[in-house]
Amino acid sequence: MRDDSEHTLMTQVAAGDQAACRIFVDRYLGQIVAYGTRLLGDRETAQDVAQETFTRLWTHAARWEPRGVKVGAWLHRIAHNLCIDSLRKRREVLMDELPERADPACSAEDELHHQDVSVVVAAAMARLPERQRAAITLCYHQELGNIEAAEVLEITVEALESLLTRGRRKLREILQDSLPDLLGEV
Amino acid sequence: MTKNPEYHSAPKASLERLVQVLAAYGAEPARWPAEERVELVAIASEYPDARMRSAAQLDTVLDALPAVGISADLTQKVIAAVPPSTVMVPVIKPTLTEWLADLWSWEPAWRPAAALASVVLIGIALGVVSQPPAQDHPAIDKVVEIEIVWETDFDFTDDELVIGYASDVEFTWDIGFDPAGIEMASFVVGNM
Repeated sequence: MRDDSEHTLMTQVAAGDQAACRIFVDRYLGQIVAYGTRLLGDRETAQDVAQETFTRLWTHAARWEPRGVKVGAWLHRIAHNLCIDSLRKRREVLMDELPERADPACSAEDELHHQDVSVVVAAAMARLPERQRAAITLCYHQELGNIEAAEVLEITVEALESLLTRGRRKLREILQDSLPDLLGEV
Repeated sequence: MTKNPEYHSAPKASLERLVQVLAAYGAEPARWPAEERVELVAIASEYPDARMRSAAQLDTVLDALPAVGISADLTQKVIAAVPPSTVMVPVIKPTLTEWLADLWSWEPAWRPAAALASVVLIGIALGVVSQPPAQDHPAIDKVVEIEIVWETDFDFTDDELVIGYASDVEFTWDIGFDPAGIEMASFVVGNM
C-alpha cells in the first residue's frame, strides 16, 4: 500500500516521482488558485502564481523539512508572498498610469443594481487592506485553522484574530446599506 | 511579533471570549479555535445573543463568493514543470530469499538456498578434484573463485560455511565483498 504521508510524498517528489507530484496537485492546486484569485481579484494572475508556487514545490522538495508546518500551509505562504509581490507591482503600474479613480458616490448598493451578489461581495473584499483580506480568505474560504492561517501570514494567532475582527468590521461598513438586499438575494 | 492586548485578555470560555470569537471567526463553530470550541459552543447555547445572528449574516454573505475552479490545462502545465528525476528510485524486487520463503515457509529460507547452492558447487568441486592437484600448497588441492550475482540476503558474510562433504574432501566457501559490488565466493577444496 502506498504511504501518502506528506513527508514521504515530499521525498518522492524530490526524486521526481510523477505520481507523488500528481497527489500534491490534486490536493492543493485548486486551493492555491482559489486563494490567489480571492487575494488578487484576477484569476489569470492567480493561475500564474499557482504555477510558480508548484514550481517552487518541485525544486525545493529535496530541502523541505516539516518543522511542524504542513505542506498546504507552506504552499499558501509561498502563494501569499507571490500575490503580495504581484499586488505591489500592480500598484506601481497604476501609480505610473494615473488611472481614473472610482466614483466615491458609487456605493455598494448602487453596484447591486447592476451586478450579482457575488460580484458585490468580491468588490467589497477587494476594498479591504491586503492582510485583512488574506486573513478572511484563509479562515473562511480556504478553511485553514487559525494556527495554520497565522503560520501562512507569519504572525501570531492573536494578530490573526485582530486582522479578522478588523476585516469583518470593515466589510460590514462597506456592505452596510446593501446587506439586507444581499441577504434577500443569497 | 507582540501580543495584542485586546485578544485573549478575556478568560477562556467566557461570554466575553465568545464575543471576541464571533467578531473574528463568525458564527460557524467549525471555524472557531479548536481548543476552545466545545466550551464556547456550550456558552453560546446558554446565551443566545444578537451578535451571533449578526455574525451569521456576514458569514452568509461571505459564503456567496463562488468556488474557483481550475482548468485541466493548468493542471497539465503544473505537472509538466516537474523536473526530470535526478535521484535513482530503488526498485525493490523480491529477493531469492523472499521467493524461497514463500515456497519454504516452515523454516529459514537460507537452508533450501544453501542446499541448492551446494548441489551446484559439489558438482563443480568434483570436476575440479578430478584434475591434477595443485603442487604449491600441500593442504589445499585447489582454490576456485567464482563470481556470484548475489540475489540473496544471507547473513553469514565473513563466516566460513561448511556446505557439504564427499568422502574425505571438505568443501567450504568464504564470502567476501568486492568493492566493485560483486559478491565473491572463494570455493576451497581441501583434505579433511
